[in-house]
Amino acid sequence: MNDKLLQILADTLGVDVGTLNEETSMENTAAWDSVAHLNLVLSLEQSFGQRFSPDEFMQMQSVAAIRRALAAHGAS
Amino acid sequence: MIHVEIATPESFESVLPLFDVFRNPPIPPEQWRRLFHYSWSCEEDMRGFVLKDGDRVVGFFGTILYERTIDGRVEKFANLTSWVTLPEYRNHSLQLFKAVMGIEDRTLTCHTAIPSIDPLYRRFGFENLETKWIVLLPLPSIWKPGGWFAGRITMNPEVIATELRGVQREFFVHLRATECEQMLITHRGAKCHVVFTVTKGRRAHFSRIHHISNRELFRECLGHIRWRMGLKNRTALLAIDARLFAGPLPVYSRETRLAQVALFRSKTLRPEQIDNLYSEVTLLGL
Repeated sequence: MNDKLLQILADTLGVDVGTLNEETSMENTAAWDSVAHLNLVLSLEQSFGQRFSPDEFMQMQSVAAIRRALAAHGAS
Repeated sequence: MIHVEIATPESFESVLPLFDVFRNPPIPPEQWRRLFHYSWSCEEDMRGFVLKDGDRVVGFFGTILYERTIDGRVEKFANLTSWVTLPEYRNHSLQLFKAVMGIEDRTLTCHTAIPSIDPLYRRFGFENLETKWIVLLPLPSIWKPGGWFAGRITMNPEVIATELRGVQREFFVHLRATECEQMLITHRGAKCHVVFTVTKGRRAHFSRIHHISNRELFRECLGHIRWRMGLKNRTALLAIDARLFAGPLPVYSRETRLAQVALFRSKTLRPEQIDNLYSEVTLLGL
């Protein structure tokens, strides 16, 4: 799942997947702006067949937080 | 430390440099000031939210707060405006959005959600406020209304100020200092107050209507209104948000889909109950 998640993130942000890790977040990644975040969550929903709530949408601002949200949906 | 604070009227000076970065369209400072210093009374000091890096303002998301009485109920609104963040802080701009989405006790409207952000608003409960305009085309001269009109149409502010009463007069006063034009139609003892702006389109100037106090009278006198607007403002086209102009299309008119859909989120109101009177469209002359 991690590879899939990081690949989606890399595709969305337009960066090399090798530059991403578990510490990657909106705070430390310039390309991860609000539009990229929207596209990221929509891509995750499509890829994992889930629908995230507005609260989850706002919380998924790091790789670790996304991993927690996916786990809460049983998608880990 | 990057954080979000409530913007107040006193925030204007510190937010103004941000608008200079995004001069598209160019809007003079005195117009931006209207987002912070209202011409109407407002119990709340909030004017939106600022994103700050230490003491420096690096982002802003404005809210134009106002109240209207609709169907006998006082309704509270916040028109969303000017979501701007310095490029190096764009990855923090969602904090501003989150703060604005936390406004639960007001109807929220957004007239300028760019298409790429549109799905973001919808995720947070927004729906279509407006998707199309009714565009009234120039009337051929044969359609010119006859010389005799039993009513009266005036755009003279002095006359309008004298004749309007109550809440309509308040609207007139609140928007008098803006770029909005105002019109009063009097016919068979009824009045219709119209607020509109004149905007430069891709091919021609057009008048865009934001408020119609008496929609039946407006429709009844439409031919005369079209002529008067064209004559006075030299605008061949007249655009009206479709929800403000329900009913059959008049002659020489067509529907046009909006490239930028207007959105709203409300627990109590329907789209046709919400006009553009107090909004960034009228305050900034967009």
